[in-house]
Amino acid sequence: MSSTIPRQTPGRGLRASAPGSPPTTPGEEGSARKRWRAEPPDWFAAVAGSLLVAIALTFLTDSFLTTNNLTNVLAQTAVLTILATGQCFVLLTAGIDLSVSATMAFAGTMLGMLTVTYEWPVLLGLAATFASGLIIGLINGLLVARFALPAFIVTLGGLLVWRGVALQMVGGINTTGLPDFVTWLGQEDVLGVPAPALIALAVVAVSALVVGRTRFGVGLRAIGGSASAAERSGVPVLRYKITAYVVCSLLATLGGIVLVGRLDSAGGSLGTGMELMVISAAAIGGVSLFGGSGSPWGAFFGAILIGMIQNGLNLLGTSAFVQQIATGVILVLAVAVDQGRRRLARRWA
Amino acid sequence: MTAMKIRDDVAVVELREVTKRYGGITAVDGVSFTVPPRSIVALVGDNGAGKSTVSKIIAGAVHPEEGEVLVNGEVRKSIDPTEVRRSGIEVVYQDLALAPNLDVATNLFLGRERVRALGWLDRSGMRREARELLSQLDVYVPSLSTKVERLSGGQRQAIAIARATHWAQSLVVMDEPTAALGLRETRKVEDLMATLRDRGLSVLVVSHNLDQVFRLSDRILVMRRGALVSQFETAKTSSEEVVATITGVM
Repeated sequence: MSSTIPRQTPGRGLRASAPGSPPTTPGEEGSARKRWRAEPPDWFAAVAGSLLVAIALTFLTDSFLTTNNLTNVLAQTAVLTILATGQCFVLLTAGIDLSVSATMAFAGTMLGMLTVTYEWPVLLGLAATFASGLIIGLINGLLVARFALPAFIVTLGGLLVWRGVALQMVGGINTTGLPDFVTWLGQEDVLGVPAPALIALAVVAVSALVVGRTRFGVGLRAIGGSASAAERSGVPVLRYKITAYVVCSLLATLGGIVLVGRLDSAGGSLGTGMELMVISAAAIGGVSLFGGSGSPWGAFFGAILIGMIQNGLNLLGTSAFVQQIATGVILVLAVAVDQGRRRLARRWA
Repeated sequence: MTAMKIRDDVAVVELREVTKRYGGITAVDGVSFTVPPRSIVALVGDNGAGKSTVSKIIAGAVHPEEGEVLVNGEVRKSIDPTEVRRSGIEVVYQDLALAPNLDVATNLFLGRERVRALGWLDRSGMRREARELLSQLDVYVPSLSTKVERLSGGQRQAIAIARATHWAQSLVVMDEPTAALGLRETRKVEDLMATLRDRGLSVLVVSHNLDQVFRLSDRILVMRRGALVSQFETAKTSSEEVVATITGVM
């Protein structure tokens, strides 16, 4: 069809000849500024918040704005970033995965047990760990998508089960002395940047491309917007939903591997309660908990904001309790800012 | 629409003695009719007459217990919506089946996105095609990047119809396409239906609006209590006759 139609020159836009339509023809897609105002990126609040916190901490402390400290922040938030990115896939479909930190602990424990206790070669241990992460994701995905159980319940169950399995496997005792390759992943610098930070950035960048530029990504957002519309439009809803949970579990597994490498310690109590931080990071980054909108970059900026606040409060010498309070306040604030921004944008549009 | 599947000598869709029951209720009772190529066929009847069930059977969303559905002269075996779409039939659902959170261009290609090497979306290609499509159909939207949830009811309807037009190869089924629209928007949708016929497609429209049916259709099918009670050539009947058939006075 398109071959018979003369190409329209860019900038002429759509013809405004329908009855009732405004007499003016808008520009191609409106100016960049107009588009920004009509639809600011989801991660807007998180980036603005991160900048504000960074500026504040620069003035409040001597040590915040040092290369050493900033790379430290990146390294410390790497695991949170990886998990929040995985969570983003599930949240886009209007699902939720509360089992990520348990999956992470299970994966870390598995790797420690296989490579240290049973002395498996490290690559074989990693492969088996990823395979177990894949199975956890498949179980979550099948129960939610195929058997239509509520994601909240399925993954809440998973939270209890996988952490329990991890603790049971090693009898509650942590394994140390992980293979060099694993500790390298968690601790070494590459060109001055910590390896965990590089892994996290790679995960975010690839995920952002997958979400933004592939049929799978479009399908995930469509499912979050209206699963029945997506189904009737030919989106393979079942397959995509299951894949989202698998991606989330695999990234939780990767997070677990990086974390045990960082700590050189693997056990069932790794990252207890971290699932709430993960979901907070995604929400702060503008990933909608109702599905359909958000991006891995949002999850990244959300994680960075949380990391900077924790780092800043550490530098200021406040207690861990204050950090928890601050993170909670930021979470509610970020979501409120985001909602307000959307409402304003709607009024302007 | 690149590979037209229309043959002038074969009905785009034909129902033969199709029956669908829900529990003890017979929603569609031995219905037979054909939709000829390049025609607008209106399906009318009172509430509960079985019109929507018939459109759902054609769409592949509902499976009849008895009878067969022929598409382009061949008995349809598979009955799933994806297969139906592949056979060249598009459906404009009453709720439109658009993803409200996605923009216009994305919705036009939803489930059928064009990809380049490595599976990357061909976004510029799709936008170009979307722009051409909307301009051909004289459909106005503020921008291809506007989210569907920001559009008016009429604009959404137009997007759903444009999508169906773009992908249909023989038939577009519309279930009450103007029920929720104002006068001007209704006229726009009617223009679109006429455009479809001009392009060689057929339209099966379920409608309550008899004025509209008479303005647009070539043929009128009247259903009552699940059965097809009459078929009229629109040019050879009157609205009195059709109304009488709908209500069962005649």
